[in-house]
Amino acid sequence: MAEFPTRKWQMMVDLDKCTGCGACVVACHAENNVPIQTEQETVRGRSMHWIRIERYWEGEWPDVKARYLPVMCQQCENAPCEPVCPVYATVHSERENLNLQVYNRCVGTRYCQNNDPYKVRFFNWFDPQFEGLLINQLNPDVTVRTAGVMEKCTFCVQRIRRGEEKALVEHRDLKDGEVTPACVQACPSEALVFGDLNDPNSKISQLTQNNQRNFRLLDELGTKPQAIYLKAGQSNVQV
Amino acid sequence: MAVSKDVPLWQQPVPESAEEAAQMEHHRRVRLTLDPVAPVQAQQMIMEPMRRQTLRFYVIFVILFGLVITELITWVYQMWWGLGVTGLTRPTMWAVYIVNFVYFIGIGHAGTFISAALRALKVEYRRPISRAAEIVTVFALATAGTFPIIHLGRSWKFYWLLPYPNERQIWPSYHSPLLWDLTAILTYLSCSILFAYIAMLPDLAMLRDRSTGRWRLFYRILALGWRGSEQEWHNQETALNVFTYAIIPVMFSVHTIVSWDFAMALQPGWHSTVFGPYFVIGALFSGAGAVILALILLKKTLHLDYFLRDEHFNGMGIFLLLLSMAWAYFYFNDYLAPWYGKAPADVVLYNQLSHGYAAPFWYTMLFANIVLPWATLWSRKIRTNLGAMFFIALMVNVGMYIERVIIIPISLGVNELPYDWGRYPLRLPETLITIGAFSLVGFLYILFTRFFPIIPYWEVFEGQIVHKVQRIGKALIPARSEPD
Amino acid sequence: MAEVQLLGLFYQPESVAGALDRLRALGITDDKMTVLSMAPYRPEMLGRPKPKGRVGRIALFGALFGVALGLFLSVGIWLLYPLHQGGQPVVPIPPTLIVLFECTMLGTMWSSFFGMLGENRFPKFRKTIYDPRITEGFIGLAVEADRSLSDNIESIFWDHGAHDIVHDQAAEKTDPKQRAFWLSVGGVLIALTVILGLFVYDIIRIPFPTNMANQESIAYLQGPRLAAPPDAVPVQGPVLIDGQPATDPVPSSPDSIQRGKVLFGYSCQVCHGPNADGKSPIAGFFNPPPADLTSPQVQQLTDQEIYLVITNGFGLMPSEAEVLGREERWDVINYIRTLKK
Repeated sequence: MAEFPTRKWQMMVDLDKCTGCGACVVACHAENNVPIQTEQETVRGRSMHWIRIERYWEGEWPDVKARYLPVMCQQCENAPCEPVCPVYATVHSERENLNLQVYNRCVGTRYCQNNDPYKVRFFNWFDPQFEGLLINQLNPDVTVRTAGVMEKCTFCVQRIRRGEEKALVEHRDLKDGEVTPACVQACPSEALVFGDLNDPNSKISQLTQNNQRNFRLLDELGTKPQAIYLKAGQSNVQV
Repeated sequence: MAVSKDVPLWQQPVPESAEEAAQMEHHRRVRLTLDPVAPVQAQQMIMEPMRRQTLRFYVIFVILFGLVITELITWVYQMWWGLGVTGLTRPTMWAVYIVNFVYFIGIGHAGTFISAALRALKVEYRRPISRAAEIVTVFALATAGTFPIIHLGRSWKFYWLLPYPNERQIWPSYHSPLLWDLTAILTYLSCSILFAYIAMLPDLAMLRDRSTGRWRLFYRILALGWRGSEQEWHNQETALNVFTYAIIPVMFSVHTIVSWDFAMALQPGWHSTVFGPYFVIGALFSGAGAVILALILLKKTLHLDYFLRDEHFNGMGIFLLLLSMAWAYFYFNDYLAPWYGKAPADVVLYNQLSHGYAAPFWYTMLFANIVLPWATLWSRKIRTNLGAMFFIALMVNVGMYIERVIIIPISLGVNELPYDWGRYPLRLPETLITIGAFSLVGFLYILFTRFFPIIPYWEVFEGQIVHKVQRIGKALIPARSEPD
Repeated sequence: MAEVQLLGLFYQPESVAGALDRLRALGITDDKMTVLSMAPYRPEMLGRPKPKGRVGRIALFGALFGVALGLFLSVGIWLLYPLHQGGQPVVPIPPTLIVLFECTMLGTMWSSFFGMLGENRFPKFRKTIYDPRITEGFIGLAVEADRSLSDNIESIFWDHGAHDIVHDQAAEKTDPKQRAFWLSVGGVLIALTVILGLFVYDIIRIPFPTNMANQESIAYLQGPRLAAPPDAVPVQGPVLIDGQPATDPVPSSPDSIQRGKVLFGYSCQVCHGPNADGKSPIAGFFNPPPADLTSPQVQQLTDQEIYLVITNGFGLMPSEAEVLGREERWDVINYIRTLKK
């Protein structure tokens, strides 16, 4: 494997800008060959959205507000999902600071999901069905998983690797914003920002350093998540 | 040297005075170790189930076998279509299969406790029941071992979890509690089988001597040429001692490691440091209940009234009561800390237990595990009443099964982020497989009793050799000389 | 010095103890006498020396072996595959202790089992002196002595209340049935291990189609794309619309056919064969095999359909669009038309 530089990839979610439109969810499905569940399976709670918009209602009628919380795999540094896998199907990439999921190694123990406090991992309960023309839309860069395999958001690692390879071939450094996951690319209000926190000039560094609104999800559990959230307005309201 | 009239143990002279004879008669009725009979006679009793099968046996055998085949077919169906045919969902990714796994491993602990720990503690009432208990262990563990394979998403690749030299250029990860589980359970199962076999050798020799024809060949081969010489007994005793003192820590460690499957997780309801001893005591508790059930069924169906007497059920009843108290202590520990700490997810979970959808389960568990044993097992009359003991042991097993249901699917339903709360709906495939698993244990057990002796007669006879009565004052009191 | 073996059957340990004393007085040593019983009697009860056994020491060696196994399974595997998981060190101490403990116990118990079997010389292939009445509750006292002492031994037995005396059974004959059985058990186990090894190491492969090796997402595994309906979103590239030809076909001329023949040799011949009949050295590896371009089925297709197949691929055939430019594809088509049978 070529020697790529060490990165600290972070995803920033600005909750003030998120409109809950769900474009990120759709983009992720398209980019990562995530199957769409039937109505019956959704009722059973088996829908697979690698990034999901959690919607919380606040207040009493008629002053009800909806709060949106996009949650994707937090790529924790102390990922609780990793050490419990008996077959090394989920390991940590020290160089890219990402939590990797190795599909062909997974036997489907589902221990990783049990240990995941964010519950961002999804299991293929059946063989994924892509009906009719949807097959033409599949991304050849991403494996289509089979029944019995766990999957989760990878920060579009296929795009990251492509970008790094291209930069290496062209003997240059990766530019900030050159590599974006599908959800970041699709977000219309630019609520999602992706970048390398090791680079002080990147957009994400500048938006999140010294920002009083920033917090990380379930930080107190000690998982060291790599997604930064910026609190929405009315900062006395906890999300 | 004075020549004593060479009279066998079971033809010892009766005391002269009528009162002493009456006392002796009472002792003989109550205590197995003071009631020796001619070995040929006892052996006939033990070999009866191997010679003759009743219609009732065949009916039960066919029913159990049918249920096991149903389990197999359901499992193949599940592998073909995918785990989606079960009720598993996000977030309850572990449910009935893991409950069964933990439950059956738990049952296995009492067998080892009776055959190993009671042997180490020199408790005499373990003599006729140790093999029946050990066989519960062996078959329960074997059945439990099928569940990690059944619950895998890609069951046919289960062998990737085994640490052996392979061509895949990677070995399994011992960071994971599941691998500790695998090692511990394989150790425990294999060593339980070896333990049972070593202890069975003298009985196999006995069967070899009493049988004819093909049965004789079968036992002759399995008895390995056992003669009962001093050297053989000495080596066997050393091996049994090594096993006894080694398998007791393994027994404690196995269910502790199973509990660490849960305690290692950050899940509310699982992340408790008391899980280790809590699970071990729970295992002994449910196992004691299962052994009592097995003993009652054996006594009634195989007519083993000579061997299994009130004293044994009395002893097991006291054991069950003590374990119920110990379990209540550990459960209270496990419940108290999160209740006091009021972390939000724990509060929601406890509300589900006390007045949510899980309330019927929770209260049944508390009744069956605490209220019922504490209310009944203090009485000797109840402990020796087989119908009552059957009911109490059955309720204990139901209560402990519910305890595992509460720990696994119900606790998984409550998480840190409210968006991830859920419930587990039980569906048909898991039900069929669970029923099949219980039938598998029963099926293997009754098959075992047709081929092998369920009472370790040599241990009973050994006990009868060293037990005597001695006169203290006006009474004849049972005395026991320590063999070592 | 002919030797005899005698087995006296008694009920009481006292009788046996007394007989043993008298036999020792006769000059028979302890190692020539052995006591057989249905339940263990302490050596002190019978006045016998304590038997020595090595099972304990064997168990200790087994424990050491178990420690080695545990260290390999934990530390060894982690060092062989230093993968990072969950912020834990590559060789964490608590799991090492757990695995060490379990493997040590495993080694101890397994070695003591096999040690016991070995020390007792189980399974016994040789017949040794025995009587089935031992398991009826008798204690057997087996003596091996010179033939001249046999009468003395018998009288000692009767004096001490023996119920019966069994003479010289064993001529150290091997038990053929037992030996045959255990050898066949060993053979079966070895055979099973070898067969298992054949499967495990993929010497015998079971083709199991669940390995995500065949991906639906790779485009050229699909058939030709369906035509877009009229007034649909415009698409790029040539599309077969009913009744309309693909754009700018190159007319068939000798030059075009000659160019087509050369290009066919570069791009198509390797799969479709030098005679375009689907017989090439690698055709057998494809299922379905490359088409016979001279057959009526292919020749009946319109030029536009063949153009689309070359551009988009078909089934296992990859797209040749990067290899052949637009006009070059028409040249190849013109050449193929000349190959009609």
